[in-house]
Amino acid sequence: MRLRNPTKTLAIGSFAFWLFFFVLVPNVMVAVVSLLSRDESSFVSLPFSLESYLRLSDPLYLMVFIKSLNMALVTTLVCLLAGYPFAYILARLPGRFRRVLVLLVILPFWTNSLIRTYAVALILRTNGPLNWFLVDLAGLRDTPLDLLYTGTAVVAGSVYVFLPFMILPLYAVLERMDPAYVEAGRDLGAGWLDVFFRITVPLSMPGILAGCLLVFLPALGLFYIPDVLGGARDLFIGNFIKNQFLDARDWPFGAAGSVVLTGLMGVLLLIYYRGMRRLGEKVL
Amino acid sequence: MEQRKTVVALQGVEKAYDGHQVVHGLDLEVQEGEFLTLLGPSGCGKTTILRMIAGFEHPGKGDIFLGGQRVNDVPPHKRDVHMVFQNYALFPHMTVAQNVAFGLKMKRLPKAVIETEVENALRLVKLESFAGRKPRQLSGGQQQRVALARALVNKPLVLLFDEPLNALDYRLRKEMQRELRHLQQTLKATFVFVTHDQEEALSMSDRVVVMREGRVEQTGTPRQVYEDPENLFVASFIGETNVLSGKVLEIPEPNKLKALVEGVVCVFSSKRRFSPGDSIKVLLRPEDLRVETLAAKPDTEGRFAGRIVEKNYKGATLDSVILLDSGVRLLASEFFDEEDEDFDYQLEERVSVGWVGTWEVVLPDAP
Repeated sequence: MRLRNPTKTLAIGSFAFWLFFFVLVPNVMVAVVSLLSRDESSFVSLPFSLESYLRLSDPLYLMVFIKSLNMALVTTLVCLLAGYPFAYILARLPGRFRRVLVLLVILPFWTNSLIRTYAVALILRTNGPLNWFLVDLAGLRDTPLDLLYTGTAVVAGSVYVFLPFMILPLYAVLERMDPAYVEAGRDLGAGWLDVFFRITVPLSMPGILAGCLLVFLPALGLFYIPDVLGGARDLFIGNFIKNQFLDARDWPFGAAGSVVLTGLMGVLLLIYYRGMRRLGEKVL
Repeated sequence: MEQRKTVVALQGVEKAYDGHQVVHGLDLEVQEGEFLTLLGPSGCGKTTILRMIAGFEHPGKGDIFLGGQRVNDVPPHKRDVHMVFQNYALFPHMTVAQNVAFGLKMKRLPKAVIETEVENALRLVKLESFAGRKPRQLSGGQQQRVALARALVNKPLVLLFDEPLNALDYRLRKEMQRELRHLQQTLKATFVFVTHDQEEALSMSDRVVVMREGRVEQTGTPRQVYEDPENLFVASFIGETNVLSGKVLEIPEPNKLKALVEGVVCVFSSKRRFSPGDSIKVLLRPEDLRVETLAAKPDTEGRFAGRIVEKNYKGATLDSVILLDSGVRLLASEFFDEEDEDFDYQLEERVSVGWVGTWEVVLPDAP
């Protein structure tokens, strides 16, 4: 049976190969490292121990997790609130405008996101364009805003980087949605608000969930945006892991943090699939 | 004659998309309790008219009245009309009961009232036991009924149907047609129905509006448009018909004309006025034709001679195609006659074709 379609066998085979060597093996390696001990010369050594995990349960590190969750949550919410109207309008535009705008949404991906994050830092700094506009041009404020190196700056940077991940799945759902549903709602006496909240939003739930997941998960593990925009003040999971591997050279501790983060994301994915099944949508 | 209230009125309504005129100066009145069908080929503007009544499209010119009030600028959710959509547009995230309750909920009616009304509506369409199901768990016919209940429950001035039976198979379609007609008559509701299916239009409607390219070709009872079509388009669009060309020879008496048609001199009756020399079209319905074998009836006076080139057994009828000596093909559809031994023709057999007198329609040959 399998040999009858060599292309299919090759495709499945190479995919399995890829998954095995680039997903399973590295993750198993991280999990194994997290159970080893720290070693000055060769990074890790035997014996096996749970010490790294015990150290993670320190309230200090718990706070890091909570702060990361909070930041990811706020980022996701802001992306949803900003992305939904955008996707909604986008899905209703005539074809040619739509294609141009979708291209513009994707365009920033062509530039490295680290560089884009530095650009955001430039815009937000005390004598940057934003404050120049607020203070000198529009005269809205007497003193410049101290935005850079705050939580707000981190959220602003994350929203900027992740917004396309929210817009695209929402757009995909909204564009596919049969306009007859909205018309049927209007026909049955529902005003715009009722139609939006009782019909459009529930019907776009798969896109909302997918977009939130696509923003929330990477936002949870971020390290360069807090590094550049949050300064050294706030420590998030991503920074913590990066610091352990690159600066503190405590690989087992960093690996333990990574395993917990992966576990957390796994739980969220599980909730997502459950949610989608309850929505009656086939996932993939 | 009883004077009925006009529920919907369109006066001089025009509609164009991107400079392309889809509805031309349309006047239309729908009476209370009437089943009116807009019939025409796709692109004739019938759906646009429906959408203008519902409020989804704005007429470029002219006025639309609902219950005597001009509603040109009233948005759809404030119009007392409801539509049954072509693909039903049932809300997939709501149960059957929630779908039906939606309109009442928007009117902010008390919960108890909504519940009873929804129950009644579902009973009306025989779906009371499906209240808790989601639309996708229902068959096409059941979904159709939910869509109907969802519109009916609000007791609108007029119910609009946008080709709602298209997705159903033949038998279900027939069944729904009967059911719709029955519901409309028991509820004394006003229905405006859009379809391209002439059979559907004839079997359900009180009145049929035949449309072509944004204009009304004829308005009348199903019988009027079938038996007395005003022009060739109506005649050929509604049912099958044989069209023969001819020339008027003389007018022997009022409402009669002698004409040369396909090389045969025949006498026709018509209420229309003709003068000798006029070009005419004679319309003969297949079921009005009478075919006789030459062997059985050698007299061909006033009949068309030809030979059988095709015969199709249709169960209740025998349809045969006769190639006349003039080169024109005629379709004849005859009911079986147990008494007639010669009924079944042989292919290539010579026959003569007559028709049931006075059932022909004679129209001037349009330039």
